[in-house]
Amino acid sequence: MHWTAEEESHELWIADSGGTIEVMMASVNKGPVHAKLAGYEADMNKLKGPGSKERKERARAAIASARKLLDSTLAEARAAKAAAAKAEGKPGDFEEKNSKTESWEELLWPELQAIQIALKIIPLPKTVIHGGGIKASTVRAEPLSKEGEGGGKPAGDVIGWKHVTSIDRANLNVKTGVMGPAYWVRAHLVSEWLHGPGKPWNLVPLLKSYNTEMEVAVESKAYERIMQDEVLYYVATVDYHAPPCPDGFPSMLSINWGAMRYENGKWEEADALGTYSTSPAAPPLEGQFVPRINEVGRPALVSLGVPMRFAMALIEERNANGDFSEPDLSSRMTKVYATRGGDADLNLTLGLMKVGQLIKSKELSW
Amino acid sequence: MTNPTVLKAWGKIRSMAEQMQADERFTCVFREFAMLDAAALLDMEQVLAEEMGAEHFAIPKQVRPLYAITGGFRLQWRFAGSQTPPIYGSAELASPLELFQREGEPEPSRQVLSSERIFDLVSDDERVTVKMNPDRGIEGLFFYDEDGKAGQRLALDPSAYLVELAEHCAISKWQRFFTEEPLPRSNAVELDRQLEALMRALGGR
Repeated sequence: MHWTAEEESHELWIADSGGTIEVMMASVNKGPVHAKLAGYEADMNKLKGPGSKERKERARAAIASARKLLDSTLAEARAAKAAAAKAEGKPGDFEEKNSKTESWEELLWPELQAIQIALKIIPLPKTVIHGGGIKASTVRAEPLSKEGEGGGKPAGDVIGWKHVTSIDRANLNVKTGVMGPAYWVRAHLVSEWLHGPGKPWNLVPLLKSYNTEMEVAVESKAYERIMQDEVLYYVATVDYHAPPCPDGFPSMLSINWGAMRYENGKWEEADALGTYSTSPAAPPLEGQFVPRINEVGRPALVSLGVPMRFAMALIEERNANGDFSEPDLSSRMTKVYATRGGDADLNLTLGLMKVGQLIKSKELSW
Repeated sequence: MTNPTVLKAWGKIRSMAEQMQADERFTCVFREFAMLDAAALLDMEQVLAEEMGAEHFAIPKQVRPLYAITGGFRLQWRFAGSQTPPIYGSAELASPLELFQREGEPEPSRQVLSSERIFDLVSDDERVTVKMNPDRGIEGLFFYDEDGKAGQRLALDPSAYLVELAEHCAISKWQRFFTEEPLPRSNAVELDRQLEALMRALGGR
């Protein structure tokens, strides 16, 4: 395993020296990781000046975490060694133990890099946002760190937004007096919290519920990591609905993100930390937008008066067996409630009745 | 148990909204969220307790008087009468469920009980949050304004918040005068002027 700090190439490996197993780190001064950690601890205690308290805390946490991982690594390595000694008859056992040790190494390097960043051995890079043009396609934040220009609120002429303002007019902008979108937002592909600019090439029209889902599922997690001085890559990609849907409405949004490692003076993509994708439906072509039964979540259903447990059963059935259509709602929910005890019939009737009322009053749609 | 002061404040908000909607000088959006009766609230507590792994979870006592009379609401109004510039107000008080799970969020975890949650989504850039505390229920309300400054603690509990919201007709930025370090009342000339103009327009309610 290799990475670079302060123009030094670093490498991690396990050495067996005269029967003693050590995790070694090569740099100018090759040595066991536990000795390196002691050295980092001494450097940490010397930190002074602005921000030193925070950096100390971060280094202390990373050193503690690295030591814990180191202990596990050594334990696994010793087990692998013992397995190797008996490997003649059971090669599979050795391979399994050896691969466990490899996975500990994968966990150890990010902690060591975090220590080196906290001690400023590795400089924290400034975020670079790659994107441009008129319409969003792929926007990449690489490297992504807490350093960078501030993200921006949505501005400019986002393709598709004109259509939104013609179908979603349930919200009053009290400052301008204009009725506008209540359910849709101009959503950032790379969030403004992650330095994403509020420019049209980083924005798409999206239902608020999808935007919140994206915030919770990915953006908040990436934000937490960069605030802990981690360095990430973050790539958002969008595909669009075809006509007759108006231009600019996403049919698929995906985000791939992961850690970056400083190697040979450059930041390189390292371990993936997650993927996320969602497939928003196309907006209506005309008329007032009404939330669709296949897209609303529990809070929206409950605030509309749908009994909470019916709302939960409906969402569970929708997630398990796909979107509802007008003819199958009743039969599918009847099947769901057939196995329930208590006042199942009454609860089913009340739930279906409420949904029916909401569709009739155009507070929900198919 | 119903708190008469909160009930009166809620009545004032409702009748003001109805009056505004009937008056063409106003643009007004008012939407009440479905109210949960005692049995439905209890049921919600049981569901959330299970999801959060918090056996003895109950809706914080500080918000109970509020949710005994309303399920939350959205109010947005703008008055374009003779005065310049126009005056306006807005509020979006969270439903009891939204205190723990908003649309798009996954089922709540135990973490929610020690986090800061939206209580009044005033506008795109202003909000009031509740700071939850697993032992005390709610620790306080915090106002975030469009300057993006750190939240300022309000010297109001949730019931008093609704009472003052009604008293100030949700006029923009009324919360600035109720923080723990409030703007001096002498700075409230503009707020008072707007309130007077609104009262005149509504026939001295």
